Amino acid sequence: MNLVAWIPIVQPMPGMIAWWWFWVIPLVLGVSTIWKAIRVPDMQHYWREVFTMTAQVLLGMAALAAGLMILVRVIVPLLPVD
Amino acid sequence: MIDDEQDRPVQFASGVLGWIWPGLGHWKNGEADRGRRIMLGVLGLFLLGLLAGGLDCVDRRDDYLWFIAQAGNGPIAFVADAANNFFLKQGQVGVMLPLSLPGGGTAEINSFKSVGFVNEVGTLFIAMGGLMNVVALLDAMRGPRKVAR
Repeated sequence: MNLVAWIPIVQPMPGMIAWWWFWVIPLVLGVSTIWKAIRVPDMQHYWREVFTMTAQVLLGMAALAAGLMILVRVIVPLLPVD
Repeated sequence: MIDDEQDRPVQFASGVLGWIWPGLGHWKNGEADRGRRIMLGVLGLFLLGLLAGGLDCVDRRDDYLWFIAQAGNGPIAFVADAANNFFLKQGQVGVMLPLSLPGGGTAEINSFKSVGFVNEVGTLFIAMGGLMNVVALLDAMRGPRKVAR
């Protein structure tokens, strides 16, 4: 199915399966938007807080992914096999 | 905590309004700006979820555990579920395809049904929006903040 034939909301978005992981960015941004709307005492710096939280969560997830990759690809193969 | 929230009575009406429409509870509490941003976040996640995975991402019967979280979005989740039933499950759009079941027998599924990562991403977006709206409406039930925001 190409994009012209797509009926938004009724049908799933075509072609998104190739970059499904990219959707973590709007997901984290949405959660940060709501969380900071509840938590920040001063709305003056609201968007700065939202983008800071988004960056922190994304960096944390990237660090976890890197750590797991090192564990699986480097450390586990070094373990002795009986 | 910034203000003495324990002195504030629980605002059940704000909680109900926050469920009916995201952000409405804070708007009732006189925090319209906060309410607008909650609405932006919750409806943004909801619409992005529907855009990614389509109507099939909200399914009260087949994905009822996910729907518990999605119901936090409010009546819009039930409307999306009803639309899923009407348009996809009854074959108003798309084509109904025969499907052989593992235990024998057949069923029909719509050609617009989402599967795999596409369905999971959409379902997760809407569920996260619902859970965050529950957090928001619990905050609205605490009543207006005493400190000017």
